[in-house]
Amino acid sequence: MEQVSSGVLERAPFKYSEIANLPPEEIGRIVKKHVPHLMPKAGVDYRVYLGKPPELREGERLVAYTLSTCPHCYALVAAVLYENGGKVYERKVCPEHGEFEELYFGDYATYERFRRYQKDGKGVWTPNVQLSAPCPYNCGLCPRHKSHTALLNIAVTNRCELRCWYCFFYAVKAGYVYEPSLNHIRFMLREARRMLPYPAIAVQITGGEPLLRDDIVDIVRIAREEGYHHIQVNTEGIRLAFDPDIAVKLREAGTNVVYMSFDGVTPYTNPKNHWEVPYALDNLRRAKLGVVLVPTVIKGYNLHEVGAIIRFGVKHADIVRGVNMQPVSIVGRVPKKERDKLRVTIPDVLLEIEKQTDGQIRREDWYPVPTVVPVSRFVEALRGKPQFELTTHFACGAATYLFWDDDGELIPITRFVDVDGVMQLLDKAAEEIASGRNKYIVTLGVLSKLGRYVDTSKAPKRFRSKRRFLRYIFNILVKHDYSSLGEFHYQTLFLGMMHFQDPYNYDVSRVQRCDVHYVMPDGRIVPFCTFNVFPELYRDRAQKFFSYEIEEWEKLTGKRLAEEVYVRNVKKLMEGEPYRKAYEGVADVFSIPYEEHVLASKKFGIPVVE
Amino acid sequence: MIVKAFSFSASLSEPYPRRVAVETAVYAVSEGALRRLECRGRGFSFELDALDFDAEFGDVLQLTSADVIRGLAGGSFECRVSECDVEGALLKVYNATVNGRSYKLLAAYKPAEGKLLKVYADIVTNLAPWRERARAVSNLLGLAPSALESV
Repeated sequence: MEQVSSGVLERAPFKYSEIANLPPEEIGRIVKKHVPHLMPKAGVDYRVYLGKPPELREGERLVAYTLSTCPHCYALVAAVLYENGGKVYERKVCPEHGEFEELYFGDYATYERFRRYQKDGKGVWTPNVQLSAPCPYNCGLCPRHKSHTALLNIAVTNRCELRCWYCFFYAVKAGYVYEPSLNHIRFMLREARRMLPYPAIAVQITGGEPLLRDDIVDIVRIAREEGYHHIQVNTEGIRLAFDPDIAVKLREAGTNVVYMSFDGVTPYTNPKNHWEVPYALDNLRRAKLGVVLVPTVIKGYNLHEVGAIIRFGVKHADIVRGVNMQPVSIVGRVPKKERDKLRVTIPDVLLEIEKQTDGQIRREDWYPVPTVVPVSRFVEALRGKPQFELTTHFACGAATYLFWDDDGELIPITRFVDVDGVMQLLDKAAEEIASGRNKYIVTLGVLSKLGRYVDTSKAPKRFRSKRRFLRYIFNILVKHDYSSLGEFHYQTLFLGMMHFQDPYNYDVSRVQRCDVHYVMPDGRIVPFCTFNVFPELYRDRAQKFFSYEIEEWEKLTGKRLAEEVYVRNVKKLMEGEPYRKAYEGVADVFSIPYEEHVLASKKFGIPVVE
Repeated sequence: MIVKAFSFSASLSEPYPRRVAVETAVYAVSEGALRRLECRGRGFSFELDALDFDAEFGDVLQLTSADVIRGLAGGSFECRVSECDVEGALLKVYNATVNGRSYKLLAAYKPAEGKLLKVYADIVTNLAPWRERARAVSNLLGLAPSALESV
């Protein structure tokens, strides 16, 4: 990026090893001193051009105005969202780098449907930074932010044993090792637990590849000690495939679920871990540790396999808790023609899923994330204190729950539950309680009416008992405890979609509502789509500042960074029973010649034992 | 020192309909009492005022300049900027109407290191009863207990 010439001190004025083992409070005191220095600088890291938004052209219909950023210099610019040909686009003009036009949402009708569910959060009552710069250059979180942290990410290393061709993040390429100490991690986790109105309760331990850390189990344990109810570990699954004990240890330490990359059902679409996933699933199964499959969806690459990915999830539903698809976020300087080949948005994926499941999962079965806010508001009214709310922007994500019958028929929850009806019922009940009506009477009214919104004759056979189904709903609404939700999850497959932004489709309105955050080593809490979209200003700047030089890290650990390279034994993996069983009935990977398997792996950047 | 204050009415359409109107009164704090300031008025400019608008209402009303810009398609925004000369501590009182509900909200500022720092702000999503808020602000600004009765 052009703007990165800020002259800020790139490394802390001390060796990281000098503070690594200090008590958490002491580390916090030291790192927080550097926040002003690490914040993005006006006129250096970014400029502001708040002129008029671009004019509409013939055939375009105004949807909204917004603020966005120049993909080349990060200048803050006015942008227009418009409809043309049934799709929503964003256009913006940087005075220095010209016009940028990007697909924002692939279906205007879905945009309008989703928009109806938008609800804003309560804001951040305990901001970590004062407001001194425009959004998104003041993170965070700052007093402008609208949503509490729903999922906190904590990067615990930038090491990785894979050498994916597109990645510039891992330690060898970055030229330093970012690996916060256990005490430093404890400080970061505490920072997010201090937030009000609702402290972070869900954390994703991520990297790099977090399972490369020898103390990963201790990290999970620390997260549990610090009060996190939900702990997930984000991994490419290589170590899970070869080390059966690690899954058990992770579960015993308090991990609730593993978040595993899974881009497709063939070696062509998923060269990252196609061969290892079956073994990882087997080990997770033995450890009784659930997994969410996370495909990054790219047009012209794996969009044609989204239906098969869901089928794969259903086939392994004894251990797969969900499939969370992520339409591609395009990073780096990519010409428009190339972007158009790759770009896919939430409605595009929904349409493909509809086609590839023969209409069994329709677009209308999906709801935007804030749809469930009335559940939180109802429980809040009952309990009289702020509850966990998913108030992210409607264009950021969508979800549904999937059930199935023994004959393989896929049945989304919307076929037998009137989701809109239930949410309206809860919304109204929350208002009644807030206006002073007796909460027990209102709750009884809700419970007596709930059955009207459930038609179990259309439900999968195992849910034909209305009483049984309503018991789940009652437990979630009234008990509102994690185990009730978990019990429900065990009976279904969660289907989610989260479209992270990139510099081309950036929308400040979205990022102000973001509820997926990162805690940085200096204690700031930053939305996912500033942390990763402006890495030079947030992620890389902060991580490098508190990192080890490679030489020092190697001396301290006795490890050699360059030797941490995974070499795949395709032949051996293909010959195993777990591999055959995993893909049987989902994809015909067995007729693909061995040489093509090897080629797919090598092209991706993962060497193969010949 | 010059401080800005905003009085506005907004009818916003995106991402959901909202009607917000705010009349801001600015008071100087002197010798335990409040004195309403007369300020110079001018029109609003996103270039000049967006950040100050965010600083003013991002927390108090959960409303930012980005929200205003977003909602302008099919909506409206009229805003008067007041520029006031102040020397010491300051109280802003927002008489706000949000989707038909009225609120009286407070923000207190104190001088520190050549700047005015916001030391207290009501947040519309986290409002204590008026008496508690008035007491907290009075204590922070060294006001007599009755000082906020007339605002």
